[in-house]
Amino acid sequence: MDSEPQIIDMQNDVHDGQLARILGILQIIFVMASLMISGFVFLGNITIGIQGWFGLEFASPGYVTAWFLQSLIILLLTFFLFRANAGVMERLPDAYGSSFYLYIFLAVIYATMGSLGLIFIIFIVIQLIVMFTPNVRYYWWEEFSEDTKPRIKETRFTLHLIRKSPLVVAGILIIAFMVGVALSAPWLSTYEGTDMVFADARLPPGAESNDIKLNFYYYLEDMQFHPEIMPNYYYEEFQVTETHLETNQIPQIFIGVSNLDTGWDPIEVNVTFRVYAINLTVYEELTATERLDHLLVNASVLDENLLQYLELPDEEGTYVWELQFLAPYQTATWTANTRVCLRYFSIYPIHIWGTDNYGGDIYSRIIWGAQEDLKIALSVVMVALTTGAIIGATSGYYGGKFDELVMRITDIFFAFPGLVLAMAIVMAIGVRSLETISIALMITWWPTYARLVRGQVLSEREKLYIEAARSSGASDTRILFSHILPNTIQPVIVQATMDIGSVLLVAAGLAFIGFGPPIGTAEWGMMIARGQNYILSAPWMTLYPGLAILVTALAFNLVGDGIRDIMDPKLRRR
Amino acid sequence: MRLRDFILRRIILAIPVVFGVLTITWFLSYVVGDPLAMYVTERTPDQAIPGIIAAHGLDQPPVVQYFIYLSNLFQGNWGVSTSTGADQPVLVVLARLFPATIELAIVAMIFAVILGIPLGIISATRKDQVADHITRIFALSGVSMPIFWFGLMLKYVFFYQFSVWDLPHLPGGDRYNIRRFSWTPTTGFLLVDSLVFEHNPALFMDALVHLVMPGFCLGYITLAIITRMMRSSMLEVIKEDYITLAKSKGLTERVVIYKHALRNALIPTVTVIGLAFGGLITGAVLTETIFNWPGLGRWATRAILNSDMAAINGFTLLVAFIFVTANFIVDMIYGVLDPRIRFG
Repeated sequence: MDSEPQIIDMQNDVHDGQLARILGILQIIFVMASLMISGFVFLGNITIGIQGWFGLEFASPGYVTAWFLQSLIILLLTFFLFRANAGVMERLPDAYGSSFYLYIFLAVIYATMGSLGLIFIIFIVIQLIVMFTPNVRYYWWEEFSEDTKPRIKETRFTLHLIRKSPLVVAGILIIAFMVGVALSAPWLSTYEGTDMVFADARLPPGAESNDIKLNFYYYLEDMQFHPEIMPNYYYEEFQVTETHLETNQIPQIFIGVSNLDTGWDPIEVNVTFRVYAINLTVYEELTATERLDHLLVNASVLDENLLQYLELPDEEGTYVWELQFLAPYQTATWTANTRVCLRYFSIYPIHIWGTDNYGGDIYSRIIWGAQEDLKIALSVVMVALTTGAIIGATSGYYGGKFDELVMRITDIFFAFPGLVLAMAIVMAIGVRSLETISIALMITWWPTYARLVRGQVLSEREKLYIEAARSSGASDTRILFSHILPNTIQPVIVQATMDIGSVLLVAAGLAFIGFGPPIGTAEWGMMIARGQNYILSAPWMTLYPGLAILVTALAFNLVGDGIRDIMDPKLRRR
Repeated sequence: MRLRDFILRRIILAIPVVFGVLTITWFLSYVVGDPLAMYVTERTPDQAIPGIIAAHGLDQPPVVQYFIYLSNLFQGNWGVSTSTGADQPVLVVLARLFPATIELAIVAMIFAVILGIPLGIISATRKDQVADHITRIFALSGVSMPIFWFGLMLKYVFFYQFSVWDLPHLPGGDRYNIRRFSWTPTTGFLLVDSLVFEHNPALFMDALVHLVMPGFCLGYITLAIITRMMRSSMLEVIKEDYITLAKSKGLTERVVIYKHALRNALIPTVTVIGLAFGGLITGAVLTETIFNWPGLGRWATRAILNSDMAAINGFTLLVAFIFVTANFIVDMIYGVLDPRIRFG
């Protein structure tokens, strides 16, 4: 399953440079256009925000459109960027060409989007704060609380029903747990997601590691070490503690001074490195000759590279290292590549759920995978929901030719086998990454929501309160976004909750077949794919990631299913 | 609207969908992929390539190519698949592999229906009791379970561990035991062929045993969908006035549930069953890969991994066709059953 299908068509073109240049220009135009659009969105938000201050109305349509536009722009941009750079970065890391600038543009765009979003949120917060200041609150609070009384009552009742159904509560708890695990991955995991301890391949759950870990702790690291004026010297206190003495390997201190260059000055530099068995205060009190009584190890060279491991005693203690550069006279043009570091061995943590065939720790990889998988699932559902809801609502509300067109398009999407369409899109984009999977799934998923929302809007459109709103002179946009959409949102939320589970499954399936991110990424589907060839000798490689998917998806499904039961007006009372 | 008009309208509506699918497959294979790859394989001599390009009109502008593509499709020239070991026309491969997948899908569907409907009834009649909770968790596991993982785990337990424990174990892959039996496909449906044409009950039993694990694995998702649909429609029906009336007449709970409620609750469930059939073919992609089932799904996976565009197109078109047909039939049944839909 590790086989990599080759995508050759783009690469030849990129070699020629012609296509890359054209795409580069296209991209610049595209980026400028999207910058302008996001600028408009931003200005629109400010206007709406200011309106909100004076008119005291919560301007939801503005937020919704802005959110939609931004996600759409990011989606399209990413698609085109990936398309243009297909294979270039992987195969020709030196031939940056235009793609280098494209990546910079991408970064700029993301940064812009991010800051726009931030400002946007700040505006909302300010507006909320202003709304609740006493003299502003005086104008709207009474009426508002009168209006929302039945709504609050209903919400209380819903909460009561949720509390009474054990499956929903269990689901919510599991979701909270999984999100917590994903967020606190750096503290919970014992290994990095990409760590591989080759000596530990396919160890059963609970096994101790066969290997010891080599660690380096840098005290001084400078690729182009450049003392202002020679001679010069450096010193620092360091400690050898239990953590450095876990194994029977003795800790060592490394001194590396290489690539000496005295520039124009024909002088010889004497490099001396010493370790004293004293602490910093004592070191500073003593004179240079007195210090020599406490000398532990010593290394010295004249005008050549000094690269040496110096053994420390096999016991805890406080030491001081000292690095001297001695020259007959001062020079300002001297450089050297210098580093001082402590090298010690430590015992690898226990493999709680075993290891895979490369010696990756299953437990840690599942925790890191939780981050990746939840990120994919949430982003896909959010973008698909926004896009689908807006398209569906518009087509349901206005009807006619547009509606017919949209419905035929969704029909086409439904007629495709979803997994195959997603695979084809991943192939079309041509870059194997988690983002690619997300984009492919977003494109496959939006029709579901378009259909759902359209149906809801159709049934809601003819109701009396919409007539009332229309006859009181509300605009179409206003009716659609502030009256119809909020009332159709319940089944959509249920669907979205359950879809988070489905997206998890499909993303894992894609990764399983071989459309996943690069090998080594901690992702649940890829872990199962990796495990399937070792299912007989190492079943834990497959078991635990699958259980993780099952539990997470089940939690989302339980919540969605339970909420649907609770919200269903036919089952609610009686 | 009369029934004939209704059917006509449905057919007319299906046409743009089919064309849309054709267009997207064309776009994916000609614009994104390399159209030449559909006709050229590793075994094609280099001198032949310009001839192939000219013969298939690949040097023409895209619009012309699109129409050439359409006419090729309608003439039954779907390109050559390289993913089956030898170069074979896609239509031939489809015809050969289709029965295996359909057989698996039908068995999966039987599993799903036999287990799903009773579970749905149990769940609805004992709402918010322990039985309901257990059934719901069981059913929801079906839609929350990665099907490939479930298949691997089934295989590990019932194939490997059972043989380790010296228990009678289920086979781990393939349609029948290749070492014990030989078989020449007539209809392609092994269960039919073995009994009707080969007169070999042992082969039939063997094929049946081979179907158990992949069938259940594939059917579990549909089982979940059916159970949920059955439960919710049953719950709705139970609240209806005529059920209350039947109960107050003094009929037993059993009669009320099975005679009055079940029949009415089955209608939406039947729809879901029809629609889920299309989903089964897609689900077969992963199941067949796991159980080494020589069907369309395994072929499609290989095709995609080998960038075998002709095969991917063929598979996509077939599935789209099945889906459109299934939708159409469900609509028909609905139209016949419920006149309101026809006139709405």
